[in-house]
Amino acid sequence: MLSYMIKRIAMAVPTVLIVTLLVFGMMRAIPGDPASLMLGDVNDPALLAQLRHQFGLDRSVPEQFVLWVTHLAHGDLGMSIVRHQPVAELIRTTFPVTAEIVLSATLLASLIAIPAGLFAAWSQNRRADPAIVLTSILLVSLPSFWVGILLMWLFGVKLQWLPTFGFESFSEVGWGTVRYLVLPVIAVALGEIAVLTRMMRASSLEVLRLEYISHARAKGLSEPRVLLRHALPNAFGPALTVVGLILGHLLAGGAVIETVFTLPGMGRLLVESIYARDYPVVQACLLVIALLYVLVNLVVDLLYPVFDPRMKL
Amino acid sequence: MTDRGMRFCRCLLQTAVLLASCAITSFASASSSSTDAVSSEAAGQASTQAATHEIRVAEGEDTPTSMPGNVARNTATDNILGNVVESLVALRADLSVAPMLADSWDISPDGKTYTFHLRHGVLFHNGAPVTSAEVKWSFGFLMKRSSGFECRSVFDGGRGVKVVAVTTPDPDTVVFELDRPYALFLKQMVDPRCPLAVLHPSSVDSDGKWLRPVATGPYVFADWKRGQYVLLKRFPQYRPRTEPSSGGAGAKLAYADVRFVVIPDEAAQKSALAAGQIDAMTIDENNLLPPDPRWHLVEGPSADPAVLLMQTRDPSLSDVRMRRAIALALDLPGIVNAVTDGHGHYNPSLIPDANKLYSTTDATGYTKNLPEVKRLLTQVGYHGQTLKLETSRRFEHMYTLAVYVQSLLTKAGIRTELDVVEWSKQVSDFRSGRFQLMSFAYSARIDPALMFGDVLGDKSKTPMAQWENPAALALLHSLQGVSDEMARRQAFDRLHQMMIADVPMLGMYNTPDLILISSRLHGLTSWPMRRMRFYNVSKD
Repeated sequence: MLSYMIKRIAMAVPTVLIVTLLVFGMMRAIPGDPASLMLGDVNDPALLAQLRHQFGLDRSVPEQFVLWVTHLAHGDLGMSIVRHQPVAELIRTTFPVTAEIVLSATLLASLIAIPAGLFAAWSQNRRADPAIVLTSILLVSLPSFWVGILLMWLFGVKLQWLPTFGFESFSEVGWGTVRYLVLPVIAVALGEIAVLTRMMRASSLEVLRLEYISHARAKGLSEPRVLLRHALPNAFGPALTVVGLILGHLLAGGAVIETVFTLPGMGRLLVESIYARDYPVVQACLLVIALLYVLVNLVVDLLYPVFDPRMKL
Repeated sequence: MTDRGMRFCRCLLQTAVLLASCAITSFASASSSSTDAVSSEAAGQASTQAATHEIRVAEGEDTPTSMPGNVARNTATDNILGNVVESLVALRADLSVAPMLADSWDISPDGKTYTFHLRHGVLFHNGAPVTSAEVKWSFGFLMKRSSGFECRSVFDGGRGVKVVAVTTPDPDTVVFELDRPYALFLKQMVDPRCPLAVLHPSSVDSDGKWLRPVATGPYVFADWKRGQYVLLKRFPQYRPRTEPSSGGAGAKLAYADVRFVVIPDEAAQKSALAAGQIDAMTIDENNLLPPDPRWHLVEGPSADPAVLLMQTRDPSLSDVRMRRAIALALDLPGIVNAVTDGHGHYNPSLIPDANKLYSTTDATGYTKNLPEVKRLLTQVGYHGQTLKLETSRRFEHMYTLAVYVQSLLTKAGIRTELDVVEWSKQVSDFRSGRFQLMSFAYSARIDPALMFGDVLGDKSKTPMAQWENPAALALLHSLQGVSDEMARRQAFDRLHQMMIADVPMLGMYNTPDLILISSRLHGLTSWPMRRMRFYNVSKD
């Protein structure tokens, strides 16, 4: 197990290095720089030169890269050009918001999709199965931002049950934070429920056709026991991979929903920083996201044998 | 399905339904107790005391800084700090200069010495009285390179006049000495983008690092939760001026605390307004909410000119006859009416029609004339070369303007393609002059001379200059020491006529200032500088 972990972590190093290089290169390749954006239509060449010098933009791109990597090696993610705050602090304050949403959405999606997928497979060729499949197709077709706006309109504007914007963290208001999370979590979770249900259904169908399931039934076990004790653990393996992918995908792609619901998360920080050409923030956010992807997939791989004894690391 | 199976399924479904009902009921019961409480908590506020009468304003982005005029500033910064900081003078609604922290001022006969007489009894937000020492300190702080003041070069001779000395003969008098007479000195002190704010030294720490604005305005910068909101509290010791309120000048009365909440998405802003969770938001002309008793529109002209730029150094556009053909191919008033949905009107001049220097000459532009277009195109030997019209979707009206222009040019026989780019690239291309045609909007300048100053220039030295005309530049330079209004108006009329003849750009309209506000809000007015001010605004 330990050697496997070390091997996986070692494999992640080149991945992260390639990501940093690509991110750095791509950010510098796209036109526009933060100094020009700040000045907009103000004609002040001296100030422009001063800002470019201050941000290190007057150095060559390889020089800038070496400088960034050197600072990174010392644990310094740099300063935000636009916000004048340390990038590490920005990530420290925004990441928990994203994590709260992503973990809640993934948990909600898993709690709904896993039983639904299993039930759909069990009900194959009956009315419930196509109903669940059709619902999944419908849900996967709805963009989360659109669902978000719809939910906001219904629960925020019409019913006035929930706020349409704003955020207070768990550390500030305890469970009061839930009212800010309900709508974004539902908006994000719906699409993931659909994906996970379909995956769970497919893997459950395979498992339910196996002889040991017929054997369990022949022994006179109840259907819930057959499903929960014998079918679920074996069907859950592939779904777990999808859960891992969902987690990574949401951590990286929560920007839209964070923007719609005005949540001060890392996704929104990333998008705003891309538009503002806040290079240090973009680079650091993408680096963190790459690391998270690697970490989540590693955890999923390590969890696999817990659910499927046939798997060995 | 077996009976056991059915029971299992029912059990699962019932559990799910039960859980969902519990969740919804708990949220609903928590929420239904008070709609106002929901609204206030939505803004993430801790204070319950101010919840009912707090004015909540949506901003599309957070302010990156709390320092007035810092280079990182954006529109949100100006909107927020315009309620917090004050200068020696202020701008009226017609953009003329009025007294603010200074009751009066004298200008020496040579036009190089400005002596300001401070108003008595004015206090900073920390309770300290305003004296000439703080005025001098503020100027010194802002002019330090390390302060990041965007308009430093406006006062150090780089882009304007050079302030050679600031002296304080007594606590109520402060004297600014300039290196030469300069008619725009007073106006530039109060540019909403970078005002020469009067600040208390406690605005910075012992190392001179910026902390927060301790200023003199009717609102105190009370709380800032980055990415979420800025809370301005009423300053109870504020002493308003006695003159009637006008623009940023005159009496300022703070009736309610103001919370600027960051809501980046416009649809979310509209939802929040409809839900009563915010009270004001700026809005695009083509994105208005349908009429409703719960809200109404506050509108007025702005000083931001929307223009069609033409790259005079591009081989296809270097001949003035080609540029005139483009101007004559367009139904300019029609385009403006369509783009602004009737909220703006055609203004061919760089001088905003809300400015008191605007004259009938400035209203003179091109009128669509297709036979003349044909004649000019034949003269210049146009053979259907395609022109690229650059725009972006950062500001929707710029894009819409480009679409109409492209359509009309194509109809008139001038092949034009839209090049829709990201805003950052458009700014980069604008600054480097890498475009043929561009749909663009300048930000407001407080005086026409500043607008012409940024447009005129030698492109080989200043690529973002749009108009190369040495005679026009000389005329503009000759105005520097002239403060006589009639003389300035005549010079600007002449500059406008010269620009119409050269056609380096086509003035279209001044972007309308549109603010959608809750019907519970009273007293909010538009201002040509397009900055929201919440003094003299009350909420039911």
